[in-house]
Amino acid sequence: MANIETPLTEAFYYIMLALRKPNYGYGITQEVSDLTGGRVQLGAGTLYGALQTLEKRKWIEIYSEDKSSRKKKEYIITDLGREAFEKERQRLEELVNNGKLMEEK
Amino acid sequence: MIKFMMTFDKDKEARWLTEKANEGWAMKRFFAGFYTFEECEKGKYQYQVDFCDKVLRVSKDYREFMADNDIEIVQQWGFWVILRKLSSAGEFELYSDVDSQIAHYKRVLRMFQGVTLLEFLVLLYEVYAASTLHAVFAWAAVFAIMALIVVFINVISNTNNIIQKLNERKTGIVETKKTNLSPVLAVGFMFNACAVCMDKSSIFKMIIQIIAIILLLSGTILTCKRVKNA
Repeated sequence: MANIETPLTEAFYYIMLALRKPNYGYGITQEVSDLTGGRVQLGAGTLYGALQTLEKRKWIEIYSEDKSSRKKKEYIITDLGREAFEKERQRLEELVNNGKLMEEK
Repeated sequence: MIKFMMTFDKDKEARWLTEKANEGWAMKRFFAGFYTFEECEKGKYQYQVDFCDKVLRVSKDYREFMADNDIEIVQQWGFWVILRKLSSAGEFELYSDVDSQIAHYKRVLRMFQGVTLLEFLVLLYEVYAASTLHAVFAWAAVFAIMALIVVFINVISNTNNIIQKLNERKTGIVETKKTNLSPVLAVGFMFNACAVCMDKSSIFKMIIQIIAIILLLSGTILTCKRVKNA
């Protein structure tokens, strides 16, 4: 299911972006904060809920789970997730491009 | 140090625990309203209270996730889980955007609605039992449950207000309050139902009937005032 009706929320969009390469909870929070110059600070509950939802949609998957050593659980985006992300990015691009019309008199 | 506090407001609870930590007391355990504190460096921890992701417990995933994010699960109790994080590790917030905040409070609301419904069923049974037993303690139980229901209705109304405020922030539309009914009216109906259920006329029945009439009257007046002001 790469199609969903509602646009991605900012949190979902940035979490998926941060998962273009393997990443874990705190790493995602850090990267999203860096990318937005500290504007978007993901709360732990928000991030946990989003990861659960994205995993259920099969947009992300567990990258590595080392059972022997207590290693942090890493996630990575799936092909389906990339497809959904790309669709959203194109939608946003269209919005920004069309938004330039506002400057016309 | 052990302190007793009773609240169904999870945000108030979290603020209180963080305040205590700022004073140098870190909460370590919780049991039925009793919080056990240990001495700590002033302001060492920040506390938050979350709603369990599973029914009456947290999942293994949740535990691992919180551990990976340097968040300590201090205590899990009923539907709730008390968390803390070292203040040195930065700001501790659980829900950072409006969407996840609304989803969170909606789950809290559903739980309180379910519990209140259950309380109503228990109340019906208790009234039935009390009216057949004719015992003072049975009526004491009825009043205790009624008091609890009133508290829960208040919590539901507060949670609804929080969700409404969040929705306003999300949509930019300030909604006018839909319900003008005073909660006093609901409580009045509850007392009236009790009086009706009591088969024999007794002094108890009379007292409850009088309370019901007073509450219904004042509830009606309050509702009329609210409608007029709206």
